[in-house]
Amino acid sequence: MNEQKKELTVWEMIKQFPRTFFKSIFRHGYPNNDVDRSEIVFKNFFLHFHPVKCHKNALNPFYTLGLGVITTSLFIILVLTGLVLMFYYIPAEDRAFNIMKDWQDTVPFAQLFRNMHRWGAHLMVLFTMLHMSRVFYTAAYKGERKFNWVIGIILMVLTLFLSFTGYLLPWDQLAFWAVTVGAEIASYAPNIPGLEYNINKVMLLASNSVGQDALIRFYVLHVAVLPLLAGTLIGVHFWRIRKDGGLSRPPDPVRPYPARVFQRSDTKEVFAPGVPKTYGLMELVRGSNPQRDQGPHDNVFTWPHLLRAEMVVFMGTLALVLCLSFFDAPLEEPANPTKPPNPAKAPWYFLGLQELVAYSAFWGGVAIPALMVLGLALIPYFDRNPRGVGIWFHHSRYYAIFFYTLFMLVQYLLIIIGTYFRGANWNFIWPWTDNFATH
Amino acid sequence: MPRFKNSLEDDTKPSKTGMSRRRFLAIVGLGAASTALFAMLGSILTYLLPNRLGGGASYSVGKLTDVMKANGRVFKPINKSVKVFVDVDGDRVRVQTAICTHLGCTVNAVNTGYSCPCHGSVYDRDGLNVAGPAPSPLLFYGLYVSPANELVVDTSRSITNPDDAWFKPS
Repeated sequence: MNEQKKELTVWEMIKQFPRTFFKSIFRHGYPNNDVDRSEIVFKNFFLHFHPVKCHKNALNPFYTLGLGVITTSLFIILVLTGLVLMFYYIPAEDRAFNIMKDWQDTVPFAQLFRNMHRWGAHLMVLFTMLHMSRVFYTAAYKGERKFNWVIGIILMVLTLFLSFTGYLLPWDQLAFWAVTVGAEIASYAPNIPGLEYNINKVMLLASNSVGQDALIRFYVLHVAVLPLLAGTLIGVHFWRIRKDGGLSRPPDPVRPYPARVFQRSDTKEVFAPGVPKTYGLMELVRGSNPQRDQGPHDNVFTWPHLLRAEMVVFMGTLALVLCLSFFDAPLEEPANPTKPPNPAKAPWYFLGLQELVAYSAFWGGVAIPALMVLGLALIPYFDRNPRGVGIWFHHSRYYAIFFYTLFMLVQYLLIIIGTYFRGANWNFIWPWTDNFATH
Repeated sequence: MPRFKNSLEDDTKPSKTGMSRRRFLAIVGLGAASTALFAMLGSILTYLLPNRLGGGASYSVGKLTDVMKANGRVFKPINKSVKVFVDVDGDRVRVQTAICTHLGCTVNAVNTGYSCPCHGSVYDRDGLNVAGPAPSPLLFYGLYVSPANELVVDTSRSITNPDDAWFKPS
C-alpha cells in the first residue's frame, strides 16, 4: 500500500475537527463491528476491568440474580449521595443535629439525598447478605476462588461498619446511644493487660465518654477510611473474578477430544467446546485471516451484552432507591446523654446482635459475632466437596446447604424477635400489643 | 559480575557461617524496612491514642440543704458520663450510679428497683443485678460535704455494699 498523506487545507481541518477531536478521545470506531467492540472495552479506562468477551452463563439473570451488580450499584449511589451530604454536614457535637434538621427542611432535594443515602445503606446491607447466599448456594467459592470469598466476608463486615459509623453522624438519640453501646461492647473485647483504662473503648471514643472526640473519629472513618478500604477491596474482588476466568459456571456439558478443533454449524466458533480454557482473548487485530470474528466457545462480546445487562441492573437499583426515598429517613430527637429512648433499638440489621447482647455482652457482642465472621470466612477451606460449582442447590451439597440455611434462618429469627417481639425495657411483647418505630 | 541479579543465593564465596554476604545484607535491609514500617504504624496508633482522658473524680450534687429536702430516689445527671440517683432517707443519703453495668445506658427507676431500656437488665432497690445481662450491681459512690456546704460525690471511691453507702451529713 502506498498511501500518501495528503496535506489538509485549513478549511478541511476545521471541517474535520469534530471527528478528529472525537477520535483523539476514543481512539477507536463506533462499536458496530467486533474489532471496535473489543477495542471499546480494552482501550477504555472505565470499561477495561471487564473482559472483552464474557461467558453466556454470566449473563443469565437466573444464575447471578444480578446481586453483586446491585450491591456495587448501591455502593456507587451511596458514594455519590454521601458526597452531596458532605457539602453541608459539620461533625460538631452541638451543631450536627441542627444542621441536619435545617438542611433537610430548607435546602432543595436535601431530604431526597438523605433518604437515598439512608435507604441505599439499608439495601446495601440486605443485598450483601443476599449476594453472599447466592455465592454459597451456587458453590461459587470453590477451587481458585477461596480467597475471593474471604474478601467478600471482609466487605460484608466493612458494609456493617460503614452503616454503623453512618447512622451515628446525625447525633440524634439513635446515634448517641448506638455509640455508647458500641464502645461498651468494644470494651468487652480483650484489653491490653496492665492498663487502667480500656484501650478498645478509648481508641474508639478518643475519650472516656461519648462526645465530640468520638464524633470526629467516626466521621473520618465513615467518609474516608472505610469507603477507601471498601472501594479498594471491591476492585480486588472484581479483579480476582477476572483472573479466575470470569464468573463461576458449571463445567461445559460436552467433553470432546481436547485437541479436536471443529467448526460448529450454529456459530462461527473454531474452538472446541469443553476444552479446558487455556487461552484468553487479549486483543483482536485488523486482518483478513480465516479466524477473524471468531472467539472462544459460548463467549459473547462484553459490549453490548454485559454492559447492557449491568446498565439495566444499575437503573433498576436506582429506581428502587428512588421509590424508597418517598419515605423520609428517620431523624430522632436530638442526642440526650441523660436518657435513652425506651426501648432503644438499633436499625434492623443490628437487632439480631442486640438480641444476642441482651443475653450476654461478651458472648453476644464479641465472641459469637467474631466466631460467626471467622466461621463464614473459613467455609471454602473446610468444604471438601469439589462438586456443584455454578449450579444452584447441587444435590451433593445437601449437608452444606442445610447448615448454611439454618444459620441464616437463625439470624433472621433473631432479627424478627428483636424487631417485633421486644418492647419497653427489652421485655418480651407480642407485635400486636405494642408497635415501635423501626429505623 | 552482573549489576542486577535475580537470586540471592548465587554468591560464589559463602562465608564460614554458612550465610552469604548478599543474603545477610538482604536480611538487614528487610529488617530496616520493616522496622521503619512498624515505627510508622506505632506512631500513628500513638497519635490516635488520647493523651488526656476527660473527666475528674469529684462532682457537686447540689447544696446539702436542697438535696436533703427530697425524700426517696431522685435522678441527677451531673454530666455526660456521671449520672446518679440520689437516695435520701430521713437524715441520711446515698448516691448510686445510674449507668447500667452492662453496656452503659441510663437505667430508669421503677417500683421494684431499676430497669435498663436498652437490653433489659433488671436491678433491685439496692442496685443488685437480679435479671438480664447486667454482670454486676450498680455501685455507690463515696460522699463528703465541701466547705461551700455542697454535697460532693467522689467517683473514685466506689462502695459495693448498699448498707455501707449511707452518709450522714452532720
